[in-house]
Amino acid sequence: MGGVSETQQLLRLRFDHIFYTGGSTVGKQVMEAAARHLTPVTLELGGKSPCYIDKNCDVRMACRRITWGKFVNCGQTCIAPDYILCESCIQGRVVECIRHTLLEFYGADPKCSPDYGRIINQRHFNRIMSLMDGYTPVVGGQSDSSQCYIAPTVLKDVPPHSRLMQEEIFGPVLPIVTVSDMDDAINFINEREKPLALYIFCSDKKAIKRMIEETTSGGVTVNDVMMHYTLSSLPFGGVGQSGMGCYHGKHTFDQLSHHRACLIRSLNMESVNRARYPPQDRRRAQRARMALKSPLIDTSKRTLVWAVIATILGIGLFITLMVILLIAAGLNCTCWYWRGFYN
Amino acid sequence: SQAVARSVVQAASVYLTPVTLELGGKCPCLIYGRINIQAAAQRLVWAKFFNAGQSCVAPDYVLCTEATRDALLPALSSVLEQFYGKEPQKCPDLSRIVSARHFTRLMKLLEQTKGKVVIGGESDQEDKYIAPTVVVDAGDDDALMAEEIFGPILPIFTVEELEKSIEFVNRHEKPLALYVFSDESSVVKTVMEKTSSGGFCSNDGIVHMTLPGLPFGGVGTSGWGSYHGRWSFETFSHRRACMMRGWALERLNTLRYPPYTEDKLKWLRWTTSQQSSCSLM
Repeated sequence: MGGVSETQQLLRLRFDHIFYTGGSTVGKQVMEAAARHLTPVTLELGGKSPCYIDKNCDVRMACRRITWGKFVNCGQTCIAPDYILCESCIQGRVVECIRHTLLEFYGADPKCSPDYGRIINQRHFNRIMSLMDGYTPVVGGQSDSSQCYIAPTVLKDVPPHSRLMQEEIFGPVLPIVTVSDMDDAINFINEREKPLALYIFCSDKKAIKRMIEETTSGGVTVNDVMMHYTLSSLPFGGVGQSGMGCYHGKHTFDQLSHHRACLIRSLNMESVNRARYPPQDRRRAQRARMALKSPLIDTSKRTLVWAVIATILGIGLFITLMVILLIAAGLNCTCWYWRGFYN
Repeated sequence: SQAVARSVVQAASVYLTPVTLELGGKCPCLIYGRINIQAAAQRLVWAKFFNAGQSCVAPDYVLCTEATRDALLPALSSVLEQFYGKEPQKCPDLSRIVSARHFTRLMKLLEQTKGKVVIGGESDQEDKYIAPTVVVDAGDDDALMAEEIFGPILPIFTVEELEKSIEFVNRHEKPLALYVFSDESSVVKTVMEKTSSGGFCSNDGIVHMTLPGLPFGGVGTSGWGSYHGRWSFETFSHRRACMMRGWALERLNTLRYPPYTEDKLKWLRWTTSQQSSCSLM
């Protein structure tokens, strides 16, 4: 742990791997410093994680889960849903459901709730407050600089080009941007930098599949928020500006290891090698070409068909052989069967 | 090369573009223990002088005992004659140096080396030809050890013990490939475990990169990332974790929602503890 100067000193040293979690500005500097020693890096950065709510899903439950994810640690998690995308017809309901859920979670005055956090420092408090400048929140909006407290805040009808939509909020402010339909939402997401996480609330499987296929992001959780982070079998990482590399569980082991290809040969069968030694002539080259074309190492579809047919034939022949052997051995069971048949 | 790689990574950092670097290094070739000298010499000569030593995974230098070296030199001689004939310059199977600049670089290495040229050494500037050359008795600080040779010059260093040989290898940067020639599997195993390199091949050279099932790549200054076969697909893909949750079991979710009573916290601690990690929530 340390500040800017300590980190800069550390980055001058040589490591086998650098793993950085933080913002993309510093991430770029870390990668540039790592370039000096050609050190591989894993970057876990951030981004604006969009949260799309389809008008035909269970809005109340969606809002419960979103409210939990957004305001846990006061919105200061890399995978917190950054903003909501929904159609204007359900915007009112979304606001109401969030308001209702906030009451349930933190009570009438979140400032008094022991479960509601604070902003990490004064600098970020000021940053988040300035993001809200000029907007009238529909929920929350209260703040207390002495405690670095910002109430859970929701803003509606936020214009896409506002400052609030330019940088990662990393705070308890939840803007809602209206879109006309899912296609509009997909375009909105693709026009921006690739986020660390994408949240989709929808009951239609086909629509979910389409949204996942037509967008890209570090990870996706459908009908919930942040939970893909908790499964250690899933690789957790960003793409594009949200990071490079991934980790969690075995992926951490793979990420921090070098996959060393080891081929152990013996010095026997040296005569086979003559095909590759000089002096080369036409005949040798032809033989080598034939060996390379052999179905044994060919990976085309033709080989697959051949392999399947050969396997079936082989099994068939094997069964036939077994039957013949059984009959030839004159086992009792077969005799009884034939005797019974002719009775 | 490493210098260009540094600039590439620095340029890529501006857009946070992930990079895969296939660089090079000095690929050591250790020959220890019981060994079939003739077969080893054939494979070593093929791997080293293939494309006149201009491949990223060509064995760069050899480490062996003095006795092995004394047995190896005549074997190398006879194999070179077998492959390239008495006049290698006339042999159609022997390459030339890729450019005048590299020819000059290699000739300078030959001039500056403190070792003795025991095989080859002839050259022809106009033809950019350098004969398959073997150098002995060069020191660790020799010009031939300063950079990747990338040419048809093979220095042989004599180190009596395998452990000292491994130390020699580990004192230098991690190479792209590491070769061991030995009939004793314990020797192969020891070297494989005590060193680090991009790839490893025992009793042969270069061929480990022909298997598409094996990842081909460097480590440390020899590169970053790997490819070939499925590994190429993985290198150029982003593994996107997609979790599809349902609407059911919402009651279980109340465990993670505030307000956090002592009871809830006890349950939460239990669900997220090591022994019973689950995503019921």
